[in-house]
Amino acid sequence: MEILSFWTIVQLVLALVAILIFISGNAIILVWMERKIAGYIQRRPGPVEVGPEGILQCVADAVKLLSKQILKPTHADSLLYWLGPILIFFAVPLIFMVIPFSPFFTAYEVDLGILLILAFSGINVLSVLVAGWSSNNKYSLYGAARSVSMSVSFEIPLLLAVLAIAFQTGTLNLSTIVAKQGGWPWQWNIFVQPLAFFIYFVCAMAETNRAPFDLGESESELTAGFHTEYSGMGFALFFLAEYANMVVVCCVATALFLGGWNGPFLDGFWWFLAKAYGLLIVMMWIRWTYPRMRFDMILNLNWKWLLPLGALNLLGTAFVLKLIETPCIKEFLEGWGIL
Amino acid sequence: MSPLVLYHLVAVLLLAFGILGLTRRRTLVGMLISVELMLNGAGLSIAASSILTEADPVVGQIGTLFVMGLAAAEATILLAVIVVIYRRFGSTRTSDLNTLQE
Amino acid sequence: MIMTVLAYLAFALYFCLIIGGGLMAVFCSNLVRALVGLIATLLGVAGMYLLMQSPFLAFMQILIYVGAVCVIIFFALMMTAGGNENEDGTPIPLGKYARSFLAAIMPLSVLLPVIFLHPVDSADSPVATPLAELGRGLTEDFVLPFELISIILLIAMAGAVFLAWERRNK
Repeated sequence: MEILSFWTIVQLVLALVAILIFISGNAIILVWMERKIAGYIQRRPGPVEVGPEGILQCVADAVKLLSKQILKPTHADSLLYWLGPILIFFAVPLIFMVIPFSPFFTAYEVDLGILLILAFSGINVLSVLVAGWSSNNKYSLYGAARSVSMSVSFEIPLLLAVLAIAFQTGTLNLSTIVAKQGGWPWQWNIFVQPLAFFIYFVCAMAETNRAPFDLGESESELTAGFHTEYSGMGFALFFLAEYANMVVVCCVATALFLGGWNGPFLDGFWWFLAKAYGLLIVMMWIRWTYPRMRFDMILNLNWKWLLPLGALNLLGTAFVLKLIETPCIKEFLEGWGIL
Repeated sequence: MSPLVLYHLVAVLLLAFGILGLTRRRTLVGMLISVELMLNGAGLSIAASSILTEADPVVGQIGTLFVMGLAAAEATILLAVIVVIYRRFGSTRTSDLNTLQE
Repeated sequence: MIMTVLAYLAFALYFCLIIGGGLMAVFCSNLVRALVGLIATLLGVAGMYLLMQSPFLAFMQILIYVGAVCVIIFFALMMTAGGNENEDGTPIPLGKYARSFLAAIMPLSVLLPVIFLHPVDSADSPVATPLAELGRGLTEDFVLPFELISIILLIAMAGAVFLAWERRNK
């Protein structure tokens, strides 16, 4: 019954601490970025008061959230009510464990990296449901039901897109997938699988409940969706988890499609961060550019477009892979120096 | 106790919990939860008996995967059945579903 | 040495998770709490798969059960407004209690002696199965059951949609 050695456990604990620091520091930077980008797009300055360019505004907000009174609505189920924010934050550090930031900086190398990420992101869905149900508020319940039915259905095309990459590289290990790509854009997987990247990115935005898919917390109809009733740290945990999940999906997209740590001149870690942050900026740009979609439009987009496209993409990938493996075509391709 | 005995103990306890819940619950959803407990015990037992003995470990793991697939199918169909029953009877309590008695 | 101790500690943790979750799933009158108990049990079983050196099973367990089956059960709860099982306040009759305990003890009384009196030789440390072998098993030796499971899933999905279908202009 042996699974880990002693030093791996020490390493895991250290990595966990580093990851928690990274997550909270990152959230502060991301919130500031989001406000600045929103300000730029809406032609206003954004936060300017606290610190240079308002960069300390988020620290001030964090202090405010910490010092706020924690309230529980009457007749709310207290066990489930507090379980919601804890559960949503519990999976996030685990997911960060397997993300390959650089060849030497992966907290826990596991052969089933993608599967682990997909499995544990399913826990988010449940915590949203638990939080929405136990708040004893109809807006919370509506928000939870909406965001969960959306997340569950968008998970399918997301899986199909990830599977296409797994087919192509023949592994579920994120580090191996990254190592098989090169440093220049035409060596990345996005060059071979542009459709899979598109599907993945749309689904990732839906999974993280970002606009234009932020129906779960649409503030004009549902006040704040599933976390309406949470105050203080309860709300802060949901907030932190949302930004952490954004980073997760962008990191996975970087590893799967954008060549991960591969890049000329600089050290791998910085390339990885740069690509992931680039994707994050695109996500924010989309959020502040497009209006929120209607619920039936979102589901139609998923079931009528993304799902068939994803399935076709997967079939096409399998077909091409088989085709390349047949001897005569393989010989021909090798003759032309393609393989 | 060998590891296999421990795993089988857990599996049997899950089975007992499942039966207890299935006979004790008064709503369909509660019974569904108990059924899931039993199926989990079955999966655990199959996986443990094949991985920890000389049997082919692949067979047991695939068997467990099939149990999971069947559980998913069963939960889907039960969701639909429960929704239909709720529409017809206005309740999912087992004591209300007694048209045959009347 | 220290590793076996750690493994047994992990086993004890998962065991407590499973038993506590199971008790919650069976005895809570609030069905959402029962569902949370079920989730705890499922996570504990996933941990046991990890201890058995089969992470694939563990992740599939979380992906399928926690990510899909539990969400389905939650939706069943929401669609039937069945949060509380005990809403009319009538306690369960004592006879029914006794009978359900009897029903649960019956299989235990047969299976527990079998497990303890006739233990099968067991390996102390499980050997990890490579994922490729598992895949080969699914697509070569057990391809027919695999396809049948897919068909069952498809039929179940179509059947569920058909059953729960409601015409819009009725």
